[in-house]
Amino acid sequence: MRRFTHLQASTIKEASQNGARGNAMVIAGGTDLLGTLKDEILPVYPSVIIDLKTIEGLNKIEDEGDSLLIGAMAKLADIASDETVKKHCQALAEASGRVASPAIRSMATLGGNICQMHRCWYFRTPDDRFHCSRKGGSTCPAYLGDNRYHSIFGIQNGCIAASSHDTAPALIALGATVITSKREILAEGFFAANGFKSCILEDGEIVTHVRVPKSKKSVFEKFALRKSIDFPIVNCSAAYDDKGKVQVVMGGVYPAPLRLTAAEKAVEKGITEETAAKAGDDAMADATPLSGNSYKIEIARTIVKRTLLRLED
Amino acid sequence: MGENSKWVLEGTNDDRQDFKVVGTWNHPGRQSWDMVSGAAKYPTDLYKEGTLTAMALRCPYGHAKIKSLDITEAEKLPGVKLLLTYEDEELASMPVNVPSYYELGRSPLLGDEAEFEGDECGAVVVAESEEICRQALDLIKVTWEVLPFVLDCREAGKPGAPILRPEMNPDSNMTGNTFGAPIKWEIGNVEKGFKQADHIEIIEYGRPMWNQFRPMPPAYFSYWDNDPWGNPDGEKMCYVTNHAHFPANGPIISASMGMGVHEDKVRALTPYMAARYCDFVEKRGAQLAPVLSRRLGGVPVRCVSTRRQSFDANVPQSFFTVRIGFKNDGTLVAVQCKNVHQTGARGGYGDKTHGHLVLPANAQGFKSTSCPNIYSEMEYYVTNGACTTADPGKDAWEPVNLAFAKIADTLNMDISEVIMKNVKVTKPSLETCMETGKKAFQWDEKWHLPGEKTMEDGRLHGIACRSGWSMTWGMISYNINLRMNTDGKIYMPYSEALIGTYWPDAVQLVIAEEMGMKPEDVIVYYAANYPNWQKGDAADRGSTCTWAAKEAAVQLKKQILETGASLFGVTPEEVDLVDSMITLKADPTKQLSLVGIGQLAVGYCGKPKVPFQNDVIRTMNVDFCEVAVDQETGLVEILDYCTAHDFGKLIRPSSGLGQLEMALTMASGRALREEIIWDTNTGVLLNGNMYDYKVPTSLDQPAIDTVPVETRCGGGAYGATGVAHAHCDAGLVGLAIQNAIGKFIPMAPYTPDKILAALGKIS
Repeated sequence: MRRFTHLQASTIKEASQNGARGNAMVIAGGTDLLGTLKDEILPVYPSVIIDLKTIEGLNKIEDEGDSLLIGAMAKLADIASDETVKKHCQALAEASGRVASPAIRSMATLGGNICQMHRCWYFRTPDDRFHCSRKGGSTCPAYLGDNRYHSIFGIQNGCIAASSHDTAPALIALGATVITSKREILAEGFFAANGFKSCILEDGEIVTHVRVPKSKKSVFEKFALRKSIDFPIVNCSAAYDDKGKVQVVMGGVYPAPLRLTAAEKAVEKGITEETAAKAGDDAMADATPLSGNSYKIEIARTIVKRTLLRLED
Repeated sequence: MGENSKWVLEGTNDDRQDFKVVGTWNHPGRQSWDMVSGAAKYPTDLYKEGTLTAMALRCPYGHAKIKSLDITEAEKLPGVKLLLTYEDEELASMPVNVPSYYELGRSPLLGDEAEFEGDECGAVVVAESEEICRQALDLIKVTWEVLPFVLDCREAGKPGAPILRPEMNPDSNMTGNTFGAPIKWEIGNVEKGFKQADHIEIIEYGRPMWNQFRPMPPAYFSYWDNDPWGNPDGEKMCYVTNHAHFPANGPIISASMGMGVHEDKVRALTPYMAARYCDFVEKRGAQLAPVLSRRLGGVPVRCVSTRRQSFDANVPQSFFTVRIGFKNDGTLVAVQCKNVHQTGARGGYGDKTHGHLVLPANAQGFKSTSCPNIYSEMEYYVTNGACTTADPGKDAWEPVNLAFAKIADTLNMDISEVIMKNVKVTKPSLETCMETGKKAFQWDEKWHLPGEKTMEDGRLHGIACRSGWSMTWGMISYNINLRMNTDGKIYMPYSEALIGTYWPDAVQLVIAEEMGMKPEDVIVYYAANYPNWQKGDAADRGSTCTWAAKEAAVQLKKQILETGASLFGVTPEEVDLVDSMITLKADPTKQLSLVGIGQLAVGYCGKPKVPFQNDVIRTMNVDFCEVAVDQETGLVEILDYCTAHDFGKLIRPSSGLGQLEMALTMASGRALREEIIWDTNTGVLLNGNMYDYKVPTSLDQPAIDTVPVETRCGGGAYGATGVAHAHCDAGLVGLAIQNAIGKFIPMAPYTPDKILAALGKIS
């Protein structure tokens, strides 16, 4: 790992101001960033790392009545085991409990998880072996390469990597809002392939909290090859909104988590074996697999169905 | 049923029945304690004040040659202490370590041609830190000539494939110990055999490259210092770290060969190397580190690599096409087997997988059946991608078990019956393993015809079993030096890299058993400068080495009893050693401590008469597997894994059974997830990390039921034999999946995409 200046911020403002200057990155739990630095994956190596752990109060989980306000520095393990989260935002608790491994969850944060970069192996190969479009290149090597884990719903901003955050589908399904040092953004609009980032944060903009509306029931399902420390091939979350309508969101199928409106429509009149299966079929009707990932459609279809059936269970 | 193997135990007390220590639990052992407690020091842990870092230039292409190299700017970088290129005279003249066997067409230690992405090539830099090394490497201006690459050995064998190593073979990529032509082997008359067959079937099996050396990204640490005698020959002592277990003193061989110094001037710093089992690939850092240190006046130099770079040595690809002829009762009467195998980059390593088998692996396995007509053909091809090393999977038996499964499938037979019908020697070992294993696994309750059982949760249920050898080979005469010290303890030195087989702790128990010592009074210790320890090649230290240790222990005990008898004033026959005390047999309350009675020592060098692999192996094992297959997602879960393994005699249960669990865990990962993946457009490795190369985590580890069998039919101490490579095959899971879904899948790993395709869910 190369040398960098390590700043311990005491306020969001301080972190934000330093983050906006030159080539800086913020570090939360560090479980993704440190490996990224070690492998020199970023297009430009940061000269400054701003530590958010020294900012007080960012790790709290607060009950606001209709919603929960979760600090960006709240650890995933804490969210997964928090009784209030489990009761009112079950999908988020389940998703947080399925991220990586117990050791990583005890360090990794909610803010870090929603901001982590894509797991595309072309993007992540050290030493910029593939100068992909996310790093200023002109092409996406995965498109003609090994894309077994990539998007089945096309390209976004020149990228076909699949979103890999486990908490993201849960947050979107629950109608969460991401609060940053500059603004409030609906979670549904927060995620995107954006340069080397996987979200729309600007330089110096820092996630401080996530506000998550309570839901009478919400669930999360994940399909991965391993039971632990694996990113999703697909993941899915379904939740009832305050009007009793079902929201369905899937990850791992597009560079950003994808709201499955066709699936939502299929279960408008209730969730049964038949409607859940139809929801899976309808959700995948517009899928456009790449050369090596048509199998993901079958898996995604099934996971949508199973998520909905669990919601109804 | 097959033949009975008659085996007479040899060696002193090999027929012992009254075991007091051997076969018992709760002996911490030195190596076990060291590794479990974290006290063990691996090469990556070593550091001395003033240590410099060395890193090599790595190739960014799948195959490339350096056209020009400009190190001017890199040399000027502050903190750079030394920068050598492939044109350096000393490096160019250094012989590459030949770990064992025969290797043809070896690449130079640091050449101008890289054979795979990440290959060390062209230059090595020594600097004050890793960061400066990286900066210096970035400053080297390299012009590469990108060359064609081949990643798949089947492609390498096709007409028109680029010739990767023309200096080895200008006409094709077929290399290694095949000498440019396939190895062919035949017994009986295969075509005649097929004419006698009631059924003829063709089956295929392939496996990708697997990585097996992940736990420790290699680091090679070396420095020079005065020797204890003050360098009378003008040469200082070179300290090095372990890097390979072939040969046992790999670092010493590497360093002494590389620099032309005697072995007694080279001292290994740590016995630990961490799970680089059967790693034949020479580690260039191991040879570079001492040279770079010497060039810099002996300062400590640490040659480092990343985890990704440690994916440079892998288990080779192998592809089988097997045509079998069999009778209506399941008797195999003809086999025609073709195996295309990978030797990988740098030429000729993968063939060592089979070099010591003499016969090609597929012939080796089928030779252990009763089939009278066998034709086997094996081709080895160099590729790019990575080096290959030995194969801990049992590819000798994978095509055999596949053939048995195909027979069972065709005839609606139970595969366990097909195994017992066709394996040549079944008594006592295979028969015992099969009986005890089936009982433990509840085979008879679980077995069904392929595709005929759906579980309550909708998943398809499948089981399978397969047989294999419990490895016994004894190519090495172990040089045992056993000494009773004045402190009354028994000491045995050894000097070799430890790879996690825990053999020193097994040897400790055998010596304690034979001598009547408490295990804690037997100290098997690592002697860093003990060059007389054997340097050959064996994976059987837990059994064969214990045999030699037993013989030495018997001799030393005799000496001790003679001394003790004289102290008691009786004959040696009237005393015994009990719990480390010389004890009067007639009155066991009368005992003498060994402390202070003097020093006694014996030397013994020998080995049991263990048959070479070409002979029929007497000790067998049978593995059982139960899977559930999700029809909608293609996900396979291993519900139950059971192994009945004939240890001959189980010496140290915690080691032996632990090794079975390790091997089956390894097999489960290979069967379900693991494969080396490159970008086929560039030859660049895509999954050289622990996220994307999917080894099993502890949550993925299936329930493993280990059933030790003891037939006393092995060649080691008390008829013991090893575990070694047995069980690490992926094929068994594939056979269980076949039992679940009714279709054979011809290529491991059995990932959801392949399952869904086999189920007809995707094209």
